[in-house]
Parts: sequence; C-alpha cells; structure tokens
Amino acid sequence: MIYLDNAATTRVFDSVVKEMERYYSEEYFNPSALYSPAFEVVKKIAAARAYLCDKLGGGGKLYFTSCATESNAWVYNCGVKNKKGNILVSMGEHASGYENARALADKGFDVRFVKLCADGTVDISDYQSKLDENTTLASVIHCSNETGAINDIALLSRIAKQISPRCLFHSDGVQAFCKIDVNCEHAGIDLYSLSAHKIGGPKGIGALWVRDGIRIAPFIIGGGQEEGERSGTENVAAIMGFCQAAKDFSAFDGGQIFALRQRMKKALEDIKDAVFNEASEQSPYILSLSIAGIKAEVLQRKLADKGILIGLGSACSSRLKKNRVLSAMGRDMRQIEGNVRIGFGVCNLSDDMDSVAKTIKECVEELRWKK
Amino acid sequence: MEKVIVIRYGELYLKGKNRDYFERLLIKNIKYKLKPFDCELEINRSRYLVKNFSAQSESKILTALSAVFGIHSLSVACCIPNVYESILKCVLSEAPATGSFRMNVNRGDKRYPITSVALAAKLGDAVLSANPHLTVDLHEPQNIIWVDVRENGMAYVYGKVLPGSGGMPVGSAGRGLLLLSGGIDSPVAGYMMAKRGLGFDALHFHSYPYTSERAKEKVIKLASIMQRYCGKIRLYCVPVTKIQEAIHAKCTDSYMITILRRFMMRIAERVANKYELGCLINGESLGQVASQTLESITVTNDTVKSLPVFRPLIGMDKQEIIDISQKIDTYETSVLPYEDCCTVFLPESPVTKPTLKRVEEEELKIEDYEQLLDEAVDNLEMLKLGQVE
Repeated sequence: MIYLDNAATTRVFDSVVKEMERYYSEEYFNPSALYSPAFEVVKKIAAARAYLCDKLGGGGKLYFTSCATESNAWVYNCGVKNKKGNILVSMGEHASGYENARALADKGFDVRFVKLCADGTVDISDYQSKLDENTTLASVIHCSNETGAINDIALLSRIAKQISPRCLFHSDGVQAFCKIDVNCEHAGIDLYSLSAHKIGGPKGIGALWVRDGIRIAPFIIGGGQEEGERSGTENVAAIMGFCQAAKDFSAFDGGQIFALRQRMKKALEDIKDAVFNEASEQSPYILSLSIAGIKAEVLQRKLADKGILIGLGSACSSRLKKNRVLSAMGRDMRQIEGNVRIGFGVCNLSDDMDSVAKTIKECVEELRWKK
Repeated sequence: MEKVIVIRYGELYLKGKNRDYFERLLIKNIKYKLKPFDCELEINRSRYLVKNFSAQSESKILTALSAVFGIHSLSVACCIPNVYESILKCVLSEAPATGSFRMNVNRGDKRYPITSVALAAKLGDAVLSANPHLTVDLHEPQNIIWVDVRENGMAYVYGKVLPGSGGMPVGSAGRGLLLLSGGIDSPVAGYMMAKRGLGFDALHFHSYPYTSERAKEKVIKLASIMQRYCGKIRLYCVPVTKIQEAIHAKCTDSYMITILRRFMMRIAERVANKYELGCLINGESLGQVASQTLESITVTNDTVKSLPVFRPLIGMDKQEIIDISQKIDTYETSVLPYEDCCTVFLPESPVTKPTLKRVEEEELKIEDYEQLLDEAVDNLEMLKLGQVE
C-alpha cells in the first residue's frame, strides 16, 4: 500500500510507539501525585514542553490540549477580550476554526470573513480593509490544510497590530509545525495551534502556544493542570509521543519531500482539464489538484482498490459536498468535485512517484471515457 | 405483587377458520422478540401474558413488543389472587386523584360469584369514596381502570393501555422483495407492507467505486433497523456498475435513469423468483421525481411480467413519508450524505414522460443487455442481518 494522505494523518513512528509504551506500562503515574516517581514524570513533561516551544523559536508557553480542534475552539471561545470588538477570520481556515467563528457570529459577534486569492492565500487588501481599531482577534491559518498554500503570518500579524494594537493574532499551525520554520515570537504571533498526528505522533494530543505576557482564560476548568489553563489529567504518553515525533520528524530532510512533490507534479501535469491549487509560497507536503469532469471520491476509491490512498480536500470535511476553501479560491463546481489532495510524508521517501502518477492518470482516463 | 404484561391483538378477531394460522404466526413473532429477555409467555384465549421478567427489562420488553405487527395494545398489569379485597387494594392504587373515570371489569372465570357489572359498580363505589374529587363518566372517561378476572384464580388490574403497532402478523401475507435504496422512502414502503403481514427480503443496488462502501453500510444499517418491525430480513446486494457504465456510454442521457430502473426491475424480478418471493415492493410516490411520473412508472413497470409490484407510498406526500420514517427510526440513517447509485451519472434533465417505444429503442443500443443482467444477478451478495433490539 502506498499512503499518500499524510495531510489527514500520518503513520505513528515506531520510536514514538516505543516511547509511549513506557508511559503506559512503566511511568504511568499521575503527574499531580506527590510521590517522587510522579515528579519524575512532571520533569519529563516539562522537558517535552520546552522542546516543543523551542521548535517554535523559543519563548512563550505551551499548553497541551486533546487536539488542535480544542486549541482552536479555546482561542475563539476565550481569546476575545473585547466583546464589542470585531473578529477577523480567513475563509481558508480549517473547519475547527471556521465553525467556531461562525458560532460566534451566531451569538451576535461581529465576525468578518476575509477573502482568499485564487492561489489559496489570504487576500491581503481585503484583510486590511476589514481590520479596524476595534479588531480584537485575527486568525489566519499558517499553511492551508486543503492546498498547502502558506500565508505570511508575520506580515499579517504586523498589519493587524498596526491598525489595532491590542488585537490578538492567532494562527492554526497544524499543517506547518515541523514542516515550515517559524519563530512565533519574532513573527508577532500571539497564539499558535498544534497537533501531533500530522508529524508521526499519536492522535488525541495537541497544544496551544501562547506568547509570554498574554493570558487567555481557560476553556476547560477543573483540577488546575497546565497551570490552571487546561484542566484534565495530562495525557502523559501522548505528550511524550508528541515530543518524540517532533524530534524524529525534524531529523528528516524536507528537501526530499520537496523533490517527491516536484516529481509527482511533473508527472501529473499532462492531465487535461486539471489545475494545481498552489501558491508561490507552498508547503511541499501537499499537492492539491482539481481534475474537472471526474468525481474525486470515485477516483479515490478506484486508487484505493489498487493500493494507493490519497485524500480529498480536508479529511475532516470530505463528507460534505461543498468545499468552502476551494469555492473561496474561485474554483467552479466541476473543479471542486474533482479535487484530490495528495499528502506526502516521510513514509513516502522510498515510494515510486512515477508509477503512482501513472496509475492516477490511468484511473482518470477510465473515469473520463467518452461516448 | 407480581407484574405481567398483557398483550392484546386486534384484527385477528375478524379471522374465522384461519384465526389459528394468524395466531401461530403472531406467537412466533412475539417469541422471537422476547428471545433476548429472561421471561415467560403465557398463551390465553384472545390475550397473551408476559410473566416472570425483571423490573429492569420491563420497558425494553414493552418497546420490543410495541414493534410487533398484529399486537393491538399492551398493558403492564398487577397480577393478584382474584379475591375482592386484593382486587380492591390494587384498584385503589391505580386510581387517579382527580378527573373522571370508569371501571372496566371482565370475567374470564364465569364461576366468579359477582357479575362483571356488579363488580365494576362495587369497585367504582369504593374508588369514589376514597377519592372524593373523582367523578364517574361511563362514556368518555379520562381514566379507565381495568380488572380482568381469570380462570386460573388470578386477576389482572391495570390503568394504562399502550398502543401496539396494529396490522397483521409479519409473514401472514407471504414474503416479498423490497427494493431498498438507502433513501427515506424505501424503508417506509417496507414498513407499510410489513404492517399488512408481508415479510420481505431487501435488494440493494450498488455501484462501487461510484458509490462508496459507506453507502452500502448505511443500507445494512437501515435493513437492521427495519428488522425491529419487519422480522428477519435477508439483504441482497447487486452491483450495477457495469450496467451504469454501459448505459452512460451508449444511451441518450435523458433516458439514463429510466433505462437503469428497468434494469433494476428486471434484476429484482429474477432475484424474487430465485428466492421464491411473491411480489416486489418499492418506495415510489407519484410525481415525487422524474422517474416516478405516471409515464415513468408505466415504462419501468412494463418489465415485470410475473409478479405484482406494490407501491404503498404511491399516494403519500413527502412529509407524511418523513413522519413515518422518523417514527420507525430510519430517518436519521436515511439522510446520511452518501451517494446512491441513482445519483451516479445523473443527467441534467431526466425525461419525465418516457415512452415505451423510445426506451426499447434505447435499450437496443446495449448489445450485451442480457449478459449484463445475468452477470449482475450472478454477482449478488447475500447478507444475513443480526437481530436488533
């Protein structure tokens, strides 16, 4: 089987499984307990936290959550300080951001959705025009989960703060973490959401990075874990697995993934009536292709039968017929119906992209046969 | 004080010499439903009793029995010795504090010293004395307290009657084949026919890879839910991928759905004959979509020569159908957004008034028509579904 849906989730590294096992069967203590073996666990969590913070350029605080959806929900539900202010959200957010923003709009908040350019990045002039001195939160995804387009979040944060100095800037970094270098502090980011399972870590663990000096109210209260910011017994094994995954993922050469994508793109270029959804600043981990005249989910099943697993836009929303992000990029219905997302990962380094591309093209031809 | 569930049946009363046949089926269906529970079924003339069940399983047994066709109503009754004092004590505990009431007394045991009318009057009088705010209304009472004096030295007292599903015992009208698409209508059509005693198997057409495994899973789930009412169902899944590709390649777009549906009816007739099922059932409702106009139904119906085709929803509005699907718990599953094979290769404007002549001309374009039919039936996959509570 060739797995090319790494933007949906990744195979957990063997090293991660091994590391996690230890915290299930040996160091399984509740970090809140007062005996010394539990304190050892506390120290290890602290080290993992520090390592992940370093991956974001150092500084700030990192709170573990159950997933990036929780991190995003936390930001939208607790990060809006001035209830009369407005909120800026890009049309390109992952559903976990977008739906929370819509829920705020339903409650009466002034939520302003920012348009996308045809390449999938945020339309900066629209962004600028919707900001004002009362903007309290701006949220723009770092790397699009649909297309891999990278937003210049440092620039977007700077613009927001020039117009509204007290505005918090949040970015969903799920598809960018360990893949695109970022120094949150230097880039002027206030809040940054992370997830482990896109980089060879386990599902069920995410984090929210918060800049020093900023405090947002806790979303989940209870036993006071994570300095009272996120209650709930720490998912120790998953936290340690997250850290291990970040270490192992970082050890791989991103250039190899870039080469895989280039090779695949070149091999698919001659599919007629197809368009790549990509930006000049682009993640090498995602290749989004809209093939007009076919239904992508049928292609997906045909390929699955041949042992090739690819994605369809966001896996979280692939059951929905519309694709909000591609619509916002101006893609037409036929292009949206025929949109596939190839997600590269370290598990693909030895896979033969030419033969995968050949199979994809054959399947497309079969689906497109003419009368 | 022991509790029992009283089961009453309705329309079977009307049956003459065949009544035993219907009753046997009803009892069989009730026993099937009671299988998961630790309890006993006692068969008396005109009513059955479920006894010796735990308090925790009472509501589950009631839910299970309320889905059995042929049952008119159900009551949870107190079972006591048929001496007046015990009966009175029980009646008083069932009596409401206010409003109107009447007593309904029935003596199965005619040797009982007081007549039904006299016992009703005596008990009613005692209830009135104990509850001064109550009034008697013999015609339209707000509450009825039933007392059933039986031959076995026991009496049953109850104050509530829960409606059953009515209809006839499933299986009493034979067995048919339901065309089950995965939408809202076809499960309701099956339910309606089961109500009239028809057992059935279900036939689903899938078009992998154009339709997904999830769409098939959805249909399996729907058929499982339907078993609550309709008894055991065998689900036949027939692939029509090649047929759809052939139609798409060779025939006029606007006739695609009509031709596909004729294929489906032909396959259904063959499957029904193979498994000795006596009719076809589908969820067509007149004029609901292009393929359900009078002309379309005429053209698709023309393919079925040896069996009747029942369309129990033919005169119903969509909302009426939705209401029933919600009642029988299929709605939530039916609306899951997985494509069914009728939405694959959907033409932009399907014909609403097809003619037999034209459709036959179109079908001639598919040279391997018979072969495609045979292949589809040969590739039938049969699934046995488990019992659902």
